[in-house]
Amino acid sequence: METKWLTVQSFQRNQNLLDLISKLLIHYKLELEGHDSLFGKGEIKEAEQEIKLFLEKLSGLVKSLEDKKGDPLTGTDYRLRNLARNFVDAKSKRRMYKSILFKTSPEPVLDMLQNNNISENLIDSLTELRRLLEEHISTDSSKIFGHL
Amino acid sequence: MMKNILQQSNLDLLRAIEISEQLLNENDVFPEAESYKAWLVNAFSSIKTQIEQNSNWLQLNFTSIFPEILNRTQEQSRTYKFIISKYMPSIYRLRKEDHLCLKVLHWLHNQHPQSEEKPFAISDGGFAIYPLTQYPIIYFLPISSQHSLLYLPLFFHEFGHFLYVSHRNEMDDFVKEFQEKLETYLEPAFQQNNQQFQRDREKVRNIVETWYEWAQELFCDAVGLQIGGVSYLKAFSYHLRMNGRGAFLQRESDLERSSHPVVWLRTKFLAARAKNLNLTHEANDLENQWNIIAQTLGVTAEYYGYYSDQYYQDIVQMVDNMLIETAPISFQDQDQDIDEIDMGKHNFVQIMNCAWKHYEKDIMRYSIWESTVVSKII
Repeated sequence: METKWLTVQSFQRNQNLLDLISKLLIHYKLELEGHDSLFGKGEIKEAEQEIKLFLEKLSGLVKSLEDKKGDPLTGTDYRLRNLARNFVDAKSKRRMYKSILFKTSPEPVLDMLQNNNISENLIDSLTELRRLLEEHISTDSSKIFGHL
Repeated sequence: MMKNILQQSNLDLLRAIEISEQLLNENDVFPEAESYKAWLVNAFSSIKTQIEQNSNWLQLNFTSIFPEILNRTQEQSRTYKFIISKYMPSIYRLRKEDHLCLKVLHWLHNQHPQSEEKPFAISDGGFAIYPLTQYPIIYFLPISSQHSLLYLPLFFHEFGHFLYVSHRNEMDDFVKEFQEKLETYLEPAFQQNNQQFQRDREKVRNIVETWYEWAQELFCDAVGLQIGGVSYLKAFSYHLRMNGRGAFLQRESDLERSSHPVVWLRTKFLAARAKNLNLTHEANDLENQWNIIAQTLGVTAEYYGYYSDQYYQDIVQMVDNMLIETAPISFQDQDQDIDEIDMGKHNFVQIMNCAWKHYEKDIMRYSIWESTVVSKII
């Protein structure tokens, strides 16, 4: 009857996303530098697919927030609603979040993932998305583990 | 320099995992917890593999991927911390008395295809659950409740959270549909461009968003009732009715983004559903008891727009749809009108209902009856 489920579900979701982003960034960076990948093709495809699904979901939430200012976000838990709002806030922090993902919307990044268009733009976007998720998971972690 | 830090941290994590593996191997578990222990063994092994990967990749000296190796190491450290602090105690603290809860949960899991293969454990704390897809389920419950049959029906509510995540997409759609109806009920009649209008819009947003979490709790109550019948009504009421004024009335600012509806409101939904399940006498009893406590406290219901009877039918419909989607077992499938337990014949819901019957008939003699029954179970 307590709400541990909310925090641990957010923790699990963010841990999984961070893992996938790291995998993709390692793969893309090594590919751009002309090195062999450290992962199998199937593993990368699966990671891209999951990140795409997440970005599509995030994109829908962000669009709702931007198009219908003040309207509620429905069918989504508190932590994901928070993440979407943090994403919109981050878009105004131009110094910290300057990749195409935050300058425009998740759509161009979805296109790059869809078309296997590996570029510095894609790497920067995923790196900044990781930064946002790291901020987000630190809240979950403090609730789960407390502070020393 | 970064390479050295990463090497040290990976070695440190590896050492911690090896100690944990040793502790895990030293602890025997009940048969019902074997799959949980096996999951932990695999989880430690998987983190170790990733640590070895990190160490190998550091040797490649591709400095461009050091930020990612750092991120992976941090992520694996968090996973390890999560497992060691939340999952390992269930094995490490294992006691003979746990067998009662483990048997009940094993039975519950086996009744549902969604949970048949899902490892689980129990841990100390207030009633709660970790209903995760990639980890085993942990059920938390107070130490005193671990030894008694009376409050175990509250597991059925917690199990509802697991059913929700097992059908998340469909369940979120049901909630979304309801939230959209709610938004139309609450929509200010005329759009204006003044501060009051903005405040009203913000309140609508808070109410509609809060209902995402509330919907799940009402669904879990309905699951508890559907599985446990009278035993759930009793356990719910006894567990929560002495929680004080907050169980009946909360400030508007406390309702905003709260995770649970006011308990009194939950009893209203539970009682109505119980009447539909032909538990009329028990439902009336539940309502009367809560109303008497409210009267004594001098409390009248006030939900500040977070609840109105206008929403009632839509909420009931949403929860009905969720129950159809997740299909929890029903207490109605077995005879609950039993006075004595036959271990070979009766299931745990029948045992819990029988326990409440004995408890309310003679509280003073209940403990003797219960210890005989529990000793037969374990």
